[in-house]
Amino acid sequence: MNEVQQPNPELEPDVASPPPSTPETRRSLFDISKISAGLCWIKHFFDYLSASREEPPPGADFLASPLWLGVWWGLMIGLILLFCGQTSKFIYIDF
Amino acid sequence: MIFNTFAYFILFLVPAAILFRLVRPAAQPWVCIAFGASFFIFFSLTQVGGAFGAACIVIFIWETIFSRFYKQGSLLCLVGIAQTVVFLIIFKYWNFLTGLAFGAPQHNPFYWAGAFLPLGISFFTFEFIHYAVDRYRGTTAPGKFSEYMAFILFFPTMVAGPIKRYQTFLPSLREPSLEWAGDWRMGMTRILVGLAKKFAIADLMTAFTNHLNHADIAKAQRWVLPIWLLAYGIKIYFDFSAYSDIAIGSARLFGMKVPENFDWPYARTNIAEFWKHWHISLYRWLLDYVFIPLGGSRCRPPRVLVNLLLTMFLSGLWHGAGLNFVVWGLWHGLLLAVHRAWSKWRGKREEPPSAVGIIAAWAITFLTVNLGWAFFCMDLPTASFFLKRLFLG
Repeated sequence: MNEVQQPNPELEPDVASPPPSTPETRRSLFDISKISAGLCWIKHFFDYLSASREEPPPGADFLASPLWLGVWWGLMIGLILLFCGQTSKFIYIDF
Repeated sequence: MIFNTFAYFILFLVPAAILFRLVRPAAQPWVCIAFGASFFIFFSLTQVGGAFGAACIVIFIWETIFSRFYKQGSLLCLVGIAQTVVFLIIFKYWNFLTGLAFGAPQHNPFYWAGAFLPLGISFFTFEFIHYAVDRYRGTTAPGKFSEYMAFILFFPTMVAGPIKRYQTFLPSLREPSLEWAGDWRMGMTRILVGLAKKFAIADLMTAFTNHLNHADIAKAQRWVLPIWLLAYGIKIYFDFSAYSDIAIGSARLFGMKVPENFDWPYARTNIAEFWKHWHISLYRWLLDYVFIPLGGSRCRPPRVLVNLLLTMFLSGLWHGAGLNFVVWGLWHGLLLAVHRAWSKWRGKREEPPSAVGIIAAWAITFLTVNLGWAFFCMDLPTASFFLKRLFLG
């Protein structure tokens, strides 16, 4: 725990801030900065899908369309209907 | 159950969220109070505590009245904190503590056979303590009677958080978002994702986690054990993050934002980062009301380690009245202490970490966190037996 570094409640991409592309990273087998940027985009994508973020990631504006929203809701409702028979209590309710 | 019942949506969430937006601003806290109190009584009667549980609504009424006397530096704030802790000890730890002193129930003259947990007591006590401390420090406005009661009875977060702060809740209550369409789109999406995570992932893991008992562990082949434990790690994340999604989405239907609770904790590469992104509202509460008052990290190194262990010990004890939860808390305290000592020893990095280093750090964090779940999901003898079989065969 470190009181100086507070967790970011606005879900800024803190894992995700890609380190600067230095000569050291370019020489390595994997380009860390590119991988980090890719992971950052994937996180943003899923955060938007789960409504944790207000704006879709760059290059995925189609996610904001009503058609996509209908498809996504349909998929979620389908999953809920498919699996709801086995439901159990939420773990933290007993705490 | 609660959030995955039709009653929650039909009787409470949808009517309350619609009515909240239709009434004049002065009446909005009263909508939260009326539905919050009904929610508490309904689910106490039908799911936890029964009639005695429902009668615990008087705790909220008493807290609201008593908190009106809080002033900066006042002794009454400290009395308020003490009475909240006493409520929690009586309902949650009575049998555990008397059991430590007197042993098994048949030998314990103080054993409370009819013990029950009032709905959400572990969470609303956090909010009571937060308000009393912040009023004592003078860092929050008192608000009106109705506003504070709406804060503690706000049903989307009443049962299992996220743990709110009055300073951020009050502006949101006084001026909720007026963007119906956007709020309902985001709120409903969050709720649907939460329900899908609960049903399709968390509950599916139950097929594995049901085996985490002494008899099954004794019969199982060794290679199956880590799979069962990993399944519990997946289950608890998806279960609790699903719960938080539904709570946050529900609040959004009112036009209100409540704190986030999870931010990809399993993707983190050290235990300190894990705790900053796992049950965030609890982490921040522990930081502000336990760790920093103990001295935080601005003490001599051995004292910082003690502060860490003590904070995580309390975190473990809060999670449940059992020695296994104490061990779980101390395990995380130990991991945080080791990480802190390692970071100090290593010093600041000059170069960015290599890919192998990042993967290794992630794997160590993930495995140690998941190993700790053994103490979370099984009692102490069963967890010890599990780990013995896992490591020694």
